[in-house]
Amino acid sequence: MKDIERNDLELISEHSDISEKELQQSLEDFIYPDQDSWAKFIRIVLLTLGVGFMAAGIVFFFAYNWDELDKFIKLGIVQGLVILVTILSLTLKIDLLYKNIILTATSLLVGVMFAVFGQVYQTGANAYDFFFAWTVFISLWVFISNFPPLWLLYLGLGNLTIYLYWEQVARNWDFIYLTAGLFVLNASILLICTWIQKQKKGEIPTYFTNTIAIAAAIWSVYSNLYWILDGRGTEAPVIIAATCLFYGLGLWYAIKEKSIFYMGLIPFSIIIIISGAIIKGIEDDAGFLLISVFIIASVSFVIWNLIQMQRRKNHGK
Amino acid sequence: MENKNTIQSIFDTIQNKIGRELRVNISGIETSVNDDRNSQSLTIKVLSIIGGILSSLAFCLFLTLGSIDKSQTAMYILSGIFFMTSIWMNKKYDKVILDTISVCLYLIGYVAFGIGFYLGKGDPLYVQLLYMLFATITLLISKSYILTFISILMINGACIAIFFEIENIDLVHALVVVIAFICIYFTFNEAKFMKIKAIGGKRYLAIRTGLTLSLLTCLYFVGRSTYMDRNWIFNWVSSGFLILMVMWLINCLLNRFHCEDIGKKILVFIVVLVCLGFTAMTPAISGSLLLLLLSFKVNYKTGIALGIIGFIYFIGMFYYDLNISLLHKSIAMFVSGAFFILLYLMIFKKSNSHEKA
Repeated sequence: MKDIERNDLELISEHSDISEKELQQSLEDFIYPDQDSWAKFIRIVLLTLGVGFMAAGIVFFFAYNWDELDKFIKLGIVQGLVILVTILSLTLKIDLLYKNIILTATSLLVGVMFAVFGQVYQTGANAYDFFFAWTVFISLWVFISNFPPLWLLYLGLGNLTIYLYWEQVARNWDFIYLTAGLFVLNASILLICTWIQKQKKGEIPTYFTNTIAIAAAIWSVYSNLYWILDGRGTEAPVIIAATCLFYGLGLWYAIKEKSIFYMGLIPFSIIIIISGAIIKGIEDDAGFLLISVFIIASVSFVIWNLIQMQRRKNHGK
Repeated sequence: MENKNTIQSIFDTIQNKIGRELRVNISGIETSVNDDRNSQSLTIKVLSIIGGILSSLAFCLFLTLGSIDKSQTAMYILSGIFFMTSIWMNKKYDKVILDTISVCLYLIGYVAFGIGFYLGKGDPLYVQLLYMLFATITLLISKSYILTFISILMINGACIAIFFEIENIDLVHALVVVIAFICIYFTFNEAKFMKIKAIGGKRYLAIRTGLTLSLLTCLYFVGRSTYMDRNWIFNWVSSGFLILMVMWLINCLLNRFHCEDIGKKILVFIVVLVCLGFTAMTPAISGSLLLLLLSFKVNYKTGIALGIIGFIYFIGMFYYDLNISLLHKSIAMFVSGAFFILLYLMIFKKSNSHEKA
């Protein structure tokens, strides 16, 4: 039997003689968290606040003593902390979840370590190699722990490193290469994650794949709008091909798996891209009226399609 | 609820729990299950709202670039038509597919009215008051999910704009307390509101989401020293109310889980009072904690996510704004961290040893 959801109680409340008191009781029994969930919640909150505040306190302590400290001491203390926290995560007899939380905190400390390094040797706090080193040196923990939030941090750092490399080193590359590159990169990672999930080679939470999908969609919209509005005919075929490939795969997957999220995200991205094309095509105020009508009509159509899909899913068709 | 078997099994479970047989209108449930509001996921809600906003933005650009926004009368007429069409459409056909157009028309209604008023060189204060009036009327006459949500945000936004207009932004403190109180009332009486036909079901959820976002917006304003006079008395008073609400909520939870040990209760209250007392100069911290606890209490996931984001942000801003040296900030943070770890060890090691015994 499926779990009772709030939606079910709403329907029962509307179509039965259940009293207010009985409904409240049902909400408390089936929907609201029980004592164990509260205990887990308080446990996570206290541990996160404790570790978070202590780590922040240490960072602020360095900031205060900055000028007086010798560079070896500065680096040594942070590196010592990284080692200490890693050992703690290995030796403490606690749940794997908490160990992974500690390892994520250690990965953040690696960032602090490189920030200290950057300031001692005057390389700047936002140098691309700082983020690159941060990404490289937490790789092992990311692969071993396989902890989704740590993976998200890793992918975020990867994106940021590439962006900063373009900004600081590869300025001669056109911006369109960066946006298209990040689109293909994120979409490929999403593809791999979906494959892993389908092959049952690992458990990947939905929020993780959804976050990567949103990142890929943003970069794809960006690169497409860029070539449309800037009239970049040379780069257009590659971007169009990549968009068709990944959007096509995404839509195929969405139809096959009846995924409301992908079936909403991909058509919405297409709507934005077409709106950009309308602006470019009709370069006067009537274009905006057309866009307004187009967005309403197309989004309503997408929503209608999503409702149909949801219904088919609910009826097991 | 997907099919007859599922409906029946859910009924059986609930009937077993409440200990009596329910009189049920099965055909009514089947009709509601097939209603598109029942299949509305978060993706659909987000699409409706973003689609509506983008479309109204494009329309406003059209008005501006086409110089159509030069006639005051035309703007008022346009605004009236759009408002009425939007409300009528939602009242007559409460369909998810019409949400985007409805949001778009409703928002353009406000913008067109604002442009008209601006052309007539009206006092901005009256525009805000009228916006609030329109939103309240919408709330009263419309049964729509999406317009209810937008109206609540509109009322809250208009209130804050009025406080800025009359140059008395400290009034946001009062607004925070009022919204927090309404949030508690709504959360604690979920069953009561579900049973009220005009508010129940999806509309209740829209009101709750609107209130949650409104509370966070107000907390943002009271949390940012840029917007507030450094009049500490307002911070302390609103913090006082919010801390009392947090303590009352904790008391309700302790009672729910049958904690009758007075000593334990007093200890919990002292710990909460000490922790939040130190942050009394930033009511946003106790406010976001209240939101987090309230949302967790009723398993409201959007509220939990917003509460966590708010809590982390306001704690960060609290330390950032503190007018003490980095060394003192460092000590304060380290001591706070050690205190929470100690608390964790005290609570959970003790309970583990009890379990083992």
